Amino acid sequence: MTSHAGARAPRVHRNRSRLLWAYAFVVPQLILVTAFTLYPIVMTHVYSLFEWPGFGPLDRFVGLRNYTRILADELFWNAFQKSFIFMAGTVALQLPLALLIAILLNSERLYGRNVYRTLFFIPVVTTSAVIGIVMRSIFASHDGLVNNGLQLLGLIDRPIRWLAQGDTAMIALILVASWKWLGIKMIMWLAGLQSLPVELYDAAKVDGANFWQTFRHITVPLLVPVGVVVLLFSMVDALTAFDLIFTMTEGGPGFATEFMELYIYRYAFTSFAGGLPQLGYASAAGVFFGVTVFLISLVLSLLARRASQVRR
Amino acid sequence: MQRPRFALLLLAALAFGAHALAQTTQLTMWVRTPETVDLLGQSVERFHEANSDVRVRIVTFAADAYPGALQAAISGGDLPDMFQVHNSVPVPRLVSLGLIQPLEEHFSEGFRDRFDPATWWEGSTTVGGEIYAWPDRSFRRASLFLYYNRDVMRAAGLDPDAPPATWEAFVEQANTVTEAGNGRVYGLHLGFTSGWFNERVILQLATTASEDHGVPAEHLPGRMVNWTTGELFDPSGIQEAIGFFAELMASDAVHPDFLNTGRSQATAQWAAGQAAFLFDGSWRLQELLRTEPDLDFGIAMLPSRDGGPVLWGVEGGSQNAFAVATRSPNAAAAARLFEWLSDDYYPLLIEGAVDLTPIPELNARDELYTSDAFRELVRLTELGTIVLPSPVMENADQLETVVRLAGKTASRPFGESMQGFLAEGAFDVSAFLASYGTQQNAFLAEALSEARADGADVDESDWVFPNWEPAVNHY
Repeated sequence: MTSHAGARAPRVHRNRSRLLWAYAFVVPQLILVTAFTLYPIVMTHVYSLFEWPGFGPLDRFVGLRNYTRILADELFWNAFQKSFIFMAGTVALQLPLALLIAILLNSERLYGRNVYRTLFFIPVVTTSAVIGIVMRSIFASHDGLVNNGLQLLGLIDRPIRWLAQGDTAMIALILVASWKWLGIKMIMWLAGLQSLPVELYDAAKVDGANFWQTFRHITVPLLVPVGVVVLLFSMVDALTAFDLIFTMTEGGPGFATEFMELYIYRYAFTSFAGGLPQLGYASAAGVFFGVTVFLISLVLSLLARRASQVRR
Repeated sequence: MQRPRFALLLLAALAFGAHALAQTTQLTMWVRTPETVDLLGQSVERFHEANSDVRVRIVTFAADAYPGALQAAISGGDLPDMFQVHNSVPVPRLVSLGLIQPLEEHFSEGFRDRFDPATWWEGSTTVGGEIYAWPDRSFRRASLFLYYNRDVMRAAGLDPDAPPATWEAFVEQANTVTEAGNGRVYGLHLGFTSGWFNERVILQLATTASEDHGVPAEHLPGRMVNWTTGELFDPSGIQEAIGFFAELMASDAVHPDFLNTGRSQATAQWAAGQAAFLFDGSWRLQELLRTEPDLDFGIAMLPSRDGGPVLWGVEGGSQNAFAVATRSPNAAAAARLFEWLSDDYYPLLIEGAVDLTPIPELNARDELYTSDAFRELVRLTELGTIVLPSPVMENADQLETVVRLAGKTASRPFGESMQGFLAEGAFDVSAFLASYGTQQNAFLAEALSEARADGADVDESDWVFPNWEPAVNHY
């Protein structure tokens, strides 16, 4: 009995020590997540119930009035709609293009593929604000590189006012954003391609399948789970493109490229139309949009899980 | 023995250094007006030489980024010692939140009396008669002007000393320049990307479009008050001003990138000869004189429909005054700096062609005026910058209304909407103006009612001045 108890004591001590170490590693993370993630999320919900400029006492409780105001604001719905148009445009352009480039750069026969990979990746690590400012000049009507190129090729007679018209400004933003994030999506596709089992391709070759058949019946189905992740990241990138949009169009002309982030920023941190900031109202818009994005992400995550189950 | 002695000496030196540092008062000063940063910096350097016990650190901000920074500092309880106020958080609100402290007791005797009396304006630099903010310049401050590039005018065959004074002449000259420019040079350029700037351009032009109209003002952003009727937004003339722009755009006489070019870039392109005329603020003059010494340019009033002056309203006080945070223990040092700046920095304002000072005696010193262009700017300011009526001057309780009014903004801001309209004409501008005006006038009724609910003795009549004449100083 004594020897049994004696043997258990060090084990209990070891378990307790292990538990203490576990807490020692978890607690700092928990504190950081609580302070910088959970607290801001909770407080955003609280602020959304107040009329509050972001300073002074939080004493004007207005219930759901901020929410009813945003639902009635045509500029909110404009920003909401524009955000999703931009997202759809960049996703539709990036996903297939990045896959195509990844397939090309995955070929062992391509000479200098590491150089190309680096070149495609450079925009990813370039500051968005710098890209925005440079692209303003590139898409300028007067002496802009894009217009000069199109005129040289005889495709247009007179310069297009790319950033001074709503539709063309949106197209320019989609093109630039897609180019900026293409590199990271290409790397993700490339990682997916390199994880595919070689024996399946060997078997297909033995069966006489050509490139297109192999791509359609082996590569695409196996890449679906990776594709869902790439899609998720592309959507998140598109919904958090504040710096690029702010420096390239500032949401203009008018409100043609004012996406949700910019809309929220204007209400929360600037003297919108010369008045006080409206942090409570901006919080309500943020909560509403955040919930929408969360639901979309949730659906995509479920799709990703289902796709990976199908693959197994 | 050597090493311990050396260590002791080092410790003593460090202790002395730390003691000296502790004896020095450190002041942080936030500045949001780029045109005064260099001048303040020069003057502060001289202040350091004369006051070894105070060190001032100037932190500069882009104008558009300042409201956000100020808001973050207020909510974080982190206001610097001295900061420039902004109309997003008016001085009375700062006082009511206990965020700034009175300065009167720290100023030397007679300091207040050196200034133009209207500098000490209730709700702007003073609250309850006590000084809360030091003005960085005169309240008689102009807004937008027409800058003309003489070389470009010459090249187009125009008289370089006869800039257009009316809309009709402007359209004609702009078209002449554009035709002669052959797709490389345009009549007009301006940076039309900031809402507040777009608003000023359209509203100021509109002041000349009708007989009976409102006047825009820096202290009432987004508004165009007609003081004869007390309407907060009088839309008369605005549609004509927009029409003037549309006419220029239809004939390609405006730079094709004006809707997506910032003001600084537009100025640089105009100075590089891409346009003959530029609409920009009075603050641009000193920058042009400094950075483009060889540029042959002139300054004139914005063109008007009838050739009369384009108007801009001001009130007393200062829209860019510096306040001292309550949390700062260095109010006395800050007041000492303000007194120094009043003697040393104010003359630089005139010498540097930035603005007039709030001290009439300095403004009268002819030797300070080093540029003819600045003399012209001052002359034009006297013509177009008008001191407006003030409900607060009639009834001190109206300060409560003014503070509440500052928190009320239109759901669709004017300046950004104008940019959108000029880009695509995608909405009915007359319907927009009507609804914008209705919303603004409702704000006044709401603000009055809220002020009354809080015990202020106010009504609409304080906002009506039946004998107001738009082109005449009311005080």
